[in-house]
Amino acid sequence: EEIKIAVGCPPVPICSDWVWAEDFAAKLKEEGLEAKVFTGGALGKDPEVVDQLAQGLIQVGLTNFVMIKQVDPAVLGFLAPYMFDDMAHMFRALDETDIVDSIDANMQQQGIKIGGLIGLGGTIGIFNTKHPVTSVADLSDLRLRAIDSSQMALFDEWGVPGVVVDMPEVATSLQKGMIDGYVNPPVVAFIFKHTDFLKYYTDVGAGTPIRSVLMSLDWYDGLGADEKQKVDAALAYANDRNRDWTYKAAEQEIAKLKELGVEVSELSPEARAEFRETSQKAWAELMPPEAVEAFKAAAGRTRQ
Amino acid sequence: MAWLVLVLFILASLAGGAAIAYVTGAAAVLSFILADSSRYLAILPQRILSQIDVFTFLAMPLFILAGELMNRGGVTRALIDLAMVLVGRMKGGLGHVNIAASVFMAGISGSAVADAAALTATLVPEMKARGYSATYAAALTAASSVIGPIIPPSIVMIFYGALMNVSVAALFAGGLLPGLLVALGLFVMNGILARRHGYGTGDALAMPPAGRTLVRAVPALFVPVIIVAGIVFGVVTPTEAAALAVVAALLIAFFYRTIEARPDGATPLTLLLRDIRDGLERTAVLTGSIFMILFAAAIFGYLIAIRDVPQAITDLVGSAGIDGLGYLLLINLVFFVAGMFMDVTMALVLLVPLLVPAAIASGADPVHVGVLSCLNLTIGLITPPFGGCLMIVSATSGVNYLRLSLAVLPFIAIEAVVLVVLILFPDITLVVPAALGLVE
Amino acid sequence: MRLKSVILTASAAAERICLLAAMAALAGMVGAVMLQIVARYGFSSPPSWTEELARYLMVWGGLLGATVAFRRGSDPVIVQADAFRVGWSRAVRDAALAVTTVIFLAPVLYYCFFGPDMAVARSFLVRNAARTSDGLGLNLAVIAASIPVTVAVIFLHLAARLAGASRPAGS
Ligand code: NA
Ligand code: NA
Repeated sequence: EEIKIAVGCPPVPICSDWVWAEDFAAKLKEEGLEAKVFTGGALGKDPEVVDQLAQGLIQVGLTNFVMIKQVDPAVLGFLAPYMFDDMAHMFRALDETDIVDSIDANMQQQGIKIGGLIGLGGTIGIFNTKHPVTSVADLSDLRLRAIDSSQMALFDEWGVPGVVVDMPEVATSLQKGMIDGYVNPPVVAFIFKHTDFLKYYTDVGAGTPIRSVLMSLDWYDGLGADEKQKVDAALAYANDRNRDWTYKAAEQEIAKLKELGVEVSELSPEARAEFRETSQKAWAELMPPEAVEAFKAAAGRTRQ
Repeated sequence: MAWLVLVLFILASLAGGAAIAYVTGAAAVLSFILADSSRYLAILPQRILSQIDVFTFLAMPLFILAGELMNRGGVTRALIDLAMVLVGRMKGGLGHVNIAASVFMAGISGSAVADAAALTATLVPEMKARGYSATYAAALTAASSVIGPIIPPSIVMIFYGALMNVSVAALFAGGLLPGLLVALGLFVMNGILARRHGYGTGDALAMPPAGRTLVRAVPALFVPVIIVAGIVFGVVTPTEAAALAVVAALLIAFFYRTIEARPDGATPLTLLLRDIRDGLERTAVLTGSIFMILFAAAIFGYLIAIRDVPQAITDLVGSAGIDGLGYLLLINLVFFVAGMFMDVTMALVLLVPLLVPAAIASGADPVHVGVLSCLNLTIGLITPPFGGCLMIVSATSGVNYLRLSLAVLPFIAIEAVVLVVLILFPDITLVVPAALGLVE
Repeated sequence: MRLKSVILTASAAAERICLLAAMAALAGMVGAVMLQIVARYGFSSPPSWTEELARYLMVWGGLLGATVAFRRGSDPVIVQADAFRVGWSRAVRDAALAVTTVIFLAPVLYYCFFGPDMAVARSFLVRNAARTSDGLGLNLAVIAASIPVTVAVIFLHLAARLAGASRPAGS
């Protein structure tokens, strides 16, 4: 049977999920397996993709990390602001520690195996429509769009009001001043064309955005030794290529922002320290204390 | 052979009086079995839940409720009376008011489905009371709901812009004139049909007194002002505006109940509570009917996706080897046919990324193609056999679906004419975004 | 005879309960969205759960409304109820209703309770029970339960109709 790979975004080179899926499918085909990439959310939204994986209806799907968070909030450790020094640090923790194993074990209870956590671009920064932001105080007159309650906790520490706005309403809300900005990697602004309204970006270096590669456990466990080896090889290949792709995307995106007329601000070391200190207070809101400790330890072990 | 039996099953069930949603759902389930994909039925519960657990949908029941309350509380009557005074003496005057109301709603909401539900609940009973056939009133309301997602704001366009990397602002600006052009086409068609049927002739008895009508209309006019101002000035989201509309409708209904004659022993509050109870009851039942329609469509959509039907369509179109204007006309034909059978969002996500890049590569303007695609797929909401807005208008108005499908055909024809004009003259779409500096 | 009256009574009671609950959910939805507006202007940071609460109330309210629509025969049809006056045509209508409803919804109900290989532990409901919602921290089984409850009530109404409950006149 062909291996069905569900991707939420359209087949565009800016989308890491699609690029990953194509790499994975190409490698599988090279190994003589059949694979097909379903783009544009053709197989449904994230909860549906997870449901199909859990029941072995499809084999691989790329989703938001929220799908893992609903089962095990510890995954937020990868996204906790300033948990890791930079992108390379986060990837080292992912590769060189067993921090993801307990999360994967919890997902396997749901019939799902984590095939990888992949990058989608550079670091998470603050976009807004009003003025350059170079300190926490600069945020005081802004209202930011929050994705969920965990981001709201972060905004509380920054002293900035957050509003939960659904993605389809973000563009209009930005235009009409209901919200003044959001905290996202630049790739989100590119994909949704929000750079039409968001004219200021600050790279606060808060963390590296990730997406999750999920696999059907029934399917994976049911593979013969030979097939499993091929699938593992394809996973390793696509994950590796994603690293290169992510570093390259991160390099180019600041230039691309400037090209689109977005003013890019840098933080002074003092301002960055202030962001780091205030943000770290939100960690406890994101995940259980033992997860915070585990991630701190993993970050410590892999810090260079 | 088996598929022929399925078609016969569908026709027999429909003729047997079964609900469209249930027939569609059953046909979808049987299709899975016939397509040897029955194990995929395991996705159904999650698919159904995901289909309705959507924030954007909140505006739909809220607008239905606001419409119901406005209906019961006399708000709609006040506005219709005002419209009667203004244009009621023209042939088809209330029909024109219906279209104008859609244009106005279009500036408020981004969804044709929400517009259709709200306007059907308010305007169809009013038009019926003024001598229009319910079928005609429902068909006109469905047809004019297409204007909603074309005049900004527009959920479809935001989705399109996101999907195709086109400036949302430019798409919004590009939708303005085409939306007004659709309205103009409907005005003309309504004028012709109303004249033929003798609808909307304002007779002396039906015509309300001008002065009193104007005074009564003032509070009613506040509702759209609240909604429009709320969204335009960025105070609220469309969903929140819908909730505000509910509250405003309540306040104004209470006001009318206070100033108007009441049955013996009834206080304004008891009447208002009755309005609320009846309005909630009808909204609950209508929302339920709409949800079942969404379910059935979602099941079919999953089968289409898992069988990779869109790719097969694309391959077929690609092998024809046409380019330029011919290709643009061709993909619009494909979208039009797809719109007859598919949900807008689904058609957009499945077809646009596959078909549109070739059009842009052959020289079409991305904003032009974007507006055309959104308009075309939105017209799909009123094209039988599967028209989302038609089903909702049928559910809300109680007008028979088949009769509604026939009555809407002249309006589909005029909208198709507008679409072709827009394809042939890109400047109509592009002049506004160009003036705003959003396209070159 | 006794079973028949139990079914008829249960169906009538289910209609009343579902309708009241659906109306309450809708009213709560308006309240949640209004709270969101008020909180945004009243406090510096509005609660993050109002959006989610409104959404879940819509899911439950709309689905319970669907059961009422089914019992009342108010879902849109091609051929209206008043076309079925004589005895045999009513039997045809009941048959069409029963067949479409069961084919459409029986798989939905089955997969609520059974996962792959008929495993209850991996059913839709149990899978959702392992997940927590983002805003309210609700166990998602509370939301997922709306699907089997809705289908079960619709089947109850179907049984009542076949058992001879008064046929709705249609809308
Ligand atoms: Na609009
Ligand atoms: Na259609």
